[in-house]
Amino acid sequence: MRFALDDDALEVSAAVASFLTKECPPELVQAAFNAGGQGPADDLARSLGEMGVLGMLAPAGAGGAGLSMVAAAAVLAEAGRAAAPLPLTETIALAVPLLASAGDPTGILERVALDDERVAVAPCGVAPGASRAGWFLVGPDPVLYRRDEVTLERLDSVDRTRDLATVTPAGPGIVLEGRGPGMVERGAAAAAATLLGLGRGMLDQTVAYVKDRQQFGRPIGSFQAVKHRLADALLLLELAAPPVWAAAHALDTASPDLPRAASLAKAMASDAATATARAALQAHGAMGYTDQHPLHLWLKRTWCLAASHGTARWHRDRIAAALQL
Amino acid sequence: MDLTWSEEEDAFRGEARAWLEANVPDPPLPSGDTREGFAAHLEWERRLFAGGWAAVSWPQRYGGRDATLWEWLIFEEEYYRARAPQRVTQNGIFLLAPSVFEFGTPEQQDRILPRIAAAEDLWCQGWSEPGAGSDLAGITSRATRCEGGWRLDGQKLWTTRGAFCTHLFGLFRSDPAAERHRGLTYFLVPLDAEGVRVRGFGRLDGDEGFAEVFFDDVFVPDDAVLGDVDQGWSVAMATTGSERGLTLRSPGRFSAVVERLCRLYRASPAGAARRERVVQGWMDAEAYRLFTLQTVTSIVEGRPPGAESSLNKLWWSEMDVRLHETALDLLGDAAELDGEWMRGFEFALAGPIYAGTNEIQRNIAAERLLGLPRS
Repeated sequence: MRFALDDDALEVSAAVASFLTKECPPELVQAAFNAGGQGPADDLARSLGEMGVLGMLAPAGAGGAGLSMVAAAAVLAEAGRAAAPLPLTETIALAVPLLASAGDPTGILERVALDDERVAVAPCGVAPGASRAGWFLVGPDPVLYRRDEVTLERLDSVDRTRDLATVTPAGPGIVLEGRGPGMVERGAAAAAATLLGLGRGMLDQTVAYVKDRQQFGRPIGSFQAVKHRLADALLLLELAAPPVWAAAHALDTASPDLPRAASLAKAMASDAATATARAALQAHGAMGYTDQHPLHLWLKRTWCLAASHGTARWHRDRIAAALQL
Repeated sequence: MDLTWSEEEDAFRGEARAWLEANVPDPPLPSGDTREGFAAHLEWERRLFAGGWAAVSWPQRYGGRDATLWEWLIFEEEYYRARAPQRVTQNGIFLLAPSVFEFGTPEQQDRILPRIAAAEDLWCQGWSEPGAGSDLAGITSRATRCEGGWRLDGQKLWTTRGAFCTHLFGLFRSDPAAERHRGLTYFLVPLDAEGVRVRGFGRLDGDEGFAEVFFDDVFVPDDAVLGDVDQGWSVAMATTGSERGLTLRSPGRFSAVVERLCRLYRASPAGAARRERVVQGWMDAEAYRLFTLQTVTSIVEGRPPGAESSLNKLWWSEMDVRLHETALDLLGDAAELDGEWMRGFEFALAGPIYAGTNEIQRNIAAERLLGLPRS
């Protein structure tokens, strides 16, 4: 028994964290937001490809690093913390491993891992990162389509970095064989990891803000009304983290408990991140209620990811079924 | 990550399960917070000791079986799964013993620990006072030097099972000039010492589980001091760490409550809203189980938790209330009956109050984990 991130997960996530601290400041996220998810984040995606991060779940030799889903979850938590304006949840944890386990039928995996090619993922027919993708994975039992085999209808997400579109297939596509555990569980575990990181990012920013912001002649972070609310956010995030790692590990080990482990992770992380978002906004006061302050970028991403890959309630229903309730 | 148990651990679980199945009293014992019930629980504690299960993680020479922390977790899971009785020795085993292991002299360890494991000495906690609750450093009970020892004066309050116990561990002010956390000394006091008076009184559930303890010029010898004179605060903090932390409330206890809650729901399924509350209960307990696996891994690898134990305490104490509220909701108009779930609910309500109120825990989490300024 050992419940802790292993060294490879710690190393790769620390490397990603320090890279994003330098290369993905809030100004870049805001610029990507203004550009509808285009342009400003391109260099970021390319660098993450060169670092081996995008392909980390593909086997070594197929353009990947052969790392575990636990390591990928740790990386996605760091991407969430920085609100990296890219569909990394889908690229790292869905597109790459699904293509890899299906034997890379169209020979694009190495290019995807380097960001020379993008694959958008639409489990329920809606894909983030749609306008830049050359390929689409559509449906809960995903079928791979070329760009010219689908019709896209742009959707305006509250988070403009999402670059969202409805994907309607208009061609035969390629059914992915041997793709292992389901899209739902992969998506839920990966989105949960990202949400955990978004929550941690918002809490970090809010702690810094309330230590600095003075009212009544003292930092507002010294008031118990503020402290207790942030302590509650910390509590929810700290209790959501172990389920996230456990869900990723259940994917790595093809555990029979995977469905409920993944649903536990997503429901806990969605609830923790949305509660943290509310606390963060409240503690920032009017300053947080403006698009002139970067907090809105984290709030909107949180709302989007909490709603996608199954809401908390949808996952609680799945757990109910697993528990025969 | 490795979430599998070893063969030895599986064997340990099998042995514990078999022993518990053969020994757990049926029907269940009356409440251990009444005089009659307490006596029945003492018998149970002695049976546990005879089987070697009273304090599994202690060294054998003190009455344990040298179990690892993992095995302790497994034992707790099996204990609550088997619906074994509450532990009336819990304050000695989980609250006093950690401080004795850390601060006691070899003589004190040999004298005190085996008698705790064997349920020969029954310890209660003497920290709170009428004027010192959340503000524990406001203790005014005094210890005055005399020939060969100390004289104790003052009053302790909210002493759990004080009316049935034989000994008390507590903090007394030994340096009247020192303030707050300084100048306190940790004493070990037999309750039959001359000048000690114990008055039991009812808790919320009506059981005589509380007591106030009066000290009127009570003599104790020098070897009744645990740790150094005037250093009682740090000795006591070793205990609060364990009280808030995982030793007092292992996940097995809540997983067992959730099992019963799921059975209650299945017996009369009651709609989506109630079902969702039951699911949330399962989620809370499962998250706590995983969180504890993470904590134990840290401890085993030499990274003991510090202020993180405040999060632990916040989670289990508030989860316990929610689980019982959910059960009462499922029971509908039968909820008011003085039955198992109502009893459990009343017990759970104490959780956010004792061992440092949850308001204090939130201050600790905010100040020591988030680094926010003191109020």
